[in-house]
Amino acid sequence: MSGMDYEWLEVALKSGDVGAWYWDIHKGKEIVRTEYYNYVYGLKADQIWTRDDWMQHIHPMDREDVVAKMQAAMDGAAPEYHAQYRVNRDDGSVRWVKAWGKGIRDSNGKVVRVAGVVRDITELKKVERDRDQFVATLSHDLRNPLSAARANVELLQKFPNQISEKPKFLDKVVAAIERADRIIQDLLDSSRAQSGKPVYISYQACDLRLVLLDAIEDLSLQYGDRFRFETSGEFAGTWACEGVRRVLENLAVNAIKYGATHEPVRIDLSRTLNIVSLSVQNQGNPIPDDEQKTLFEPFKRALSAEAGQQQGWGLGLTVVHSVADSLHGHVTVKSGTDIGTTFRLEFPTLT
Amino acid sequence: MLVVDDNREVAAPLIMLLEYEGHVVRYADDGDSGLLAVSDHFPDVIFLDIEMPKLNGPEMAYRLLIQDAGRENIPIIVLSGVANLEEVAEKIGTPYFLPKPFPLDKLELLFERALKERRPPRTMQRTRGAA
Repeated sequence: MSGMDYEWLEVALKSGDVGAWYWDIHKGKEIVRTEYYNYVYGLKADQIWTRDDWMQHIHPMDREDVVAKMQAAMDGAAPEYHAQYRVNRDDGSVRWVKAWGKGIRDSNGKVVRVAGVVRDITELKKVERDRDQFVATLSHDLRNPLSAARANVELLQKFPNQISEKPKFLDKVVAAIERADRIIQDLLDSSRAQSGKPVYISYQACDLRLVLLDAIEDLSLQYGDRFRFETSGEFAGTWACEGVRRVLENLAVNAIKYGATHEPVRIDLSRTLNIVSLSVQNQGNPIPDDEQKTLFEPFKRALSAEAGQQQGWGLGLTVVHSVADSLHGHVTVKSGTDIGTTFRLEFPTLT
Repeated sequence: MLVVDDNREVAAPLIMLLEYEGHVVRYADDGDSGLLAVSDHFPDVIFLDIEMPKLNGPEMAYRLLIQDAGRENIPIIVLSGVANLEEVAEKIGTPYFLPKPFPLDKLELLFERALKERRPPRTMQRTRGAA
């Protein structure tokens, strides 16, 4: 291939995150490869790279399978070879690659060269893993309210005469179903937000303070008496009460999940003439500065949260951010060792 | 009986069912409090959630095992909505587990079985190792 052709090929391969290589079986041990191949494996351009080196850099869990597939292509036992495996680079980082290759035969039908391409699919694998995690945690989160609703209904059926406070039981069932519905609504809203559409919120006559108080009572049913609610100012009027309620619920559940256990979660609702402020504060490990920047992106969870026991489903803060946008407001976070973590929603009143 | 679940809304009807059936029930909202409750008084059976703050279900089960002194023999019923429940129950080594949301009669059957057999966690591993 001429130098010009090679450059052209290299550009094409690189733009598709693809590296190419070939190995002439009888001409020595070295594998000839393109620049992007070097990037994938973390190699210097002039580094000697043989088949043995290649094998050594395949993750031990994948090595046997990949080498066997490649061998089959070399022996002519298989026409092509396809594999997905992890590459252990010398610097300690790991990349996922998707590889395709085939044996090239001479005029006698003997395989003399093996050639192939590798594609870096690390990011793809990460998205796949995030999606699996998301589906698992979403189904888990949905099962809690379903479980509560089902058990309460069955208790009523089983002990119709012993249970004196039937309306209270039915209230719990309705509250649980509403919670399941809100999880679904969060899912739909985050999906809208990801495609750049605003989250729909509706304004109605309501008392914002009472709506949030109701939400806190509901949260206390699930998590116990952990919430301290303070308000100042007048909140009867026309508000997007349900939207603000969902912001509070998401922030309060996060505070319980990721904050210090058994410490109170402080919720503060206040206003000036034009601006309403709702803050949720918890004690516990602070969120590092660099993680604060990506917190509101879908599926992002702070590493500090991942290290803990709780699995979030990674959309709560995306929903919070989107609702804040629809309210023409914004949400901020402050976090530190001594001050704990405070999320604050601020939005203008409807005047 | 001891119910360990961070979600009170889910724990409340379970506690009520057990109490209606004449059992004395205690409640803990995370693994740490669960361990304290066990130390205080050994329950006949532990109903254990998996995902909890501070100390989760499998970790609490593990602590019971290594703390020894009889705690390792308390049967554990794992109740959870996690996708890989069987896997987690196997890790804990208990044959008793039920996915949320569960029908109450299934839970009662499982509970009766656990009370009768009293198979301590890890029994399966031990048997398998011996076989």
